[in-house]
Amino acid sequence: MFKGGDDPGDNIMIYEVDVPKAVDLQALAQDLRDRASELQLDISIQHRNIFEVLHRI
Amino acid sequence: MGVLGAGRGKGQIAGVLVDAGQQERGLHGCENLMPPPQLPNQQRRRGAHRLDVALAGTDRPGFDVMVPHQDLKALSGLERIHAIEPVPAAGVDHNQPLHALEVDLAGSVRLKQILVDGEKRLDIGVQGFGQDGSGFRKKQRGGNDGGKSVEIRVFVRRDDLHAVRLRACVREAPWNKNPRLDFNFITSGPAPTSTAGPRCQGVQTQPEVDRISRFDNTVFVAMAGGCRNEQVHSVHTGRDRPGIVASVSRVLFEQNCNIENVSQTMLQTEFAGIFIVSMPDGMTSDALHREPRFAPHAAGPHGAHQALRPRRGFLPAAECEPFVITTRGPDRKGLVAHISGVIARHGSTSPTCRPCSRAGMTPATTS
Repeated sequence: MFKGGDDPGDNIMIYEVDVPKAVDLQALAQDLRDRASELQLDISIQHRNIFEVLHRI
Repeated sequence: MGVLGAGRGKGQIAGVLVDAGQQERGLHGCENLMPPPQLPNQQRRRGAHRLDVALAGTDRPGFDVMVPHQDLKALSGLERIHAIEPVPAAGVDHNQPLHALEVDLAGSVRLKQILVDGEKRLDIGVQGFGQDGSGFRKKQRGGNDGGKSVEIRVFVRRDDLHAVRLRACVREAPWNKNPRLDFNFITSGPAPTSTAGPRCQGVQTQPEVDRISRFDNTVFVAMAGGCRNEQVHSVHTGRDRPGIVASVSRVLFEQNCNIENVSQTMLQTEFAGIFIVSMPDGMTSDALHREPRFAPHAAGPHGAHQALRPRRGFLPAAECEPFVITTRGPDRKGLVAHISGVIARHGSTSPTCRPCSRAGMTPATTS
């Protein structure tokens, strides 16, 4: 679970998002990276199909 | 016939709601029964087994089907045989023989048939509920019929009868043969006049649980949605334990409400369920607010109820692409608020967010 604390490996959050095609993906990704940097977060933004392929056992 | 909704929590089927169509009029209680993982000592000594739809992790015995009185009447045309004097069947104990049910009445409408595959013995309990909470009980013990089928006939006379509960208990069940219990309503009376067809509600409950007074640590949740204006959504939360859905649905059922859909989830140890409920004519959501078993002081699964707004057409869904965003880093307040705020500002839909286990979930740092 989300354990809290300062260990990055203990705190992983996954967001499933439906992004309209009209949205500027680069702008969204840049905003997210900027905000993640402020929060000292590593962030990954992947199409769900790619995510599922990468994490399939 | 269509299943209106089924709930499952922590490995057990919490409730099955079935809309009996006008043609088939069948209520299939449960399928693929599994043996209870552990029987109480008393049952083990007697060699008794009870039907249990639990899949794992619970020992709730018994299987109940709650049938509204009006549906019984609609199914069997009981209105026209109200005047017939009931003839008590031999060997059946009647707590209140002048009221309620008669089992195995000769010549009555064949109303209910319980078919149990591969069982040796079947006990049937019939329990009725009046509007004022009064009740009665009957018990019918099925013979050793080789395990094919047992038919009981139910005759309803009491005018203020609100619901009938049918309970089956199977003894010496060969569980390894994957027994199956079907509740089938078969009527030889006139077809019901209702075009919508009768609605039946099957609820598995713990036999001793008659009131939903065993829940604690509950909170209110209020949500909004869009549906027909005679419907309400009813949100219930409480610490998870067996029978929450059954208990909530029973209260709604006793209020003459019909559950149209159910969604439930677990938030850590807390159960959260959303019920979309159709209410009878003239009833408002205030009636659910006044329901004492949902009241805070009742220590029950607290509910919040709100009438749904009429649907004004569907909004065209924007064409979207699904993305997964993974964050990894030190915990601090407002992580979700910050990330979801950025997502919302760009016009994306509200994200489904979940924390995940550390094991094996270290995300790739690509984008």
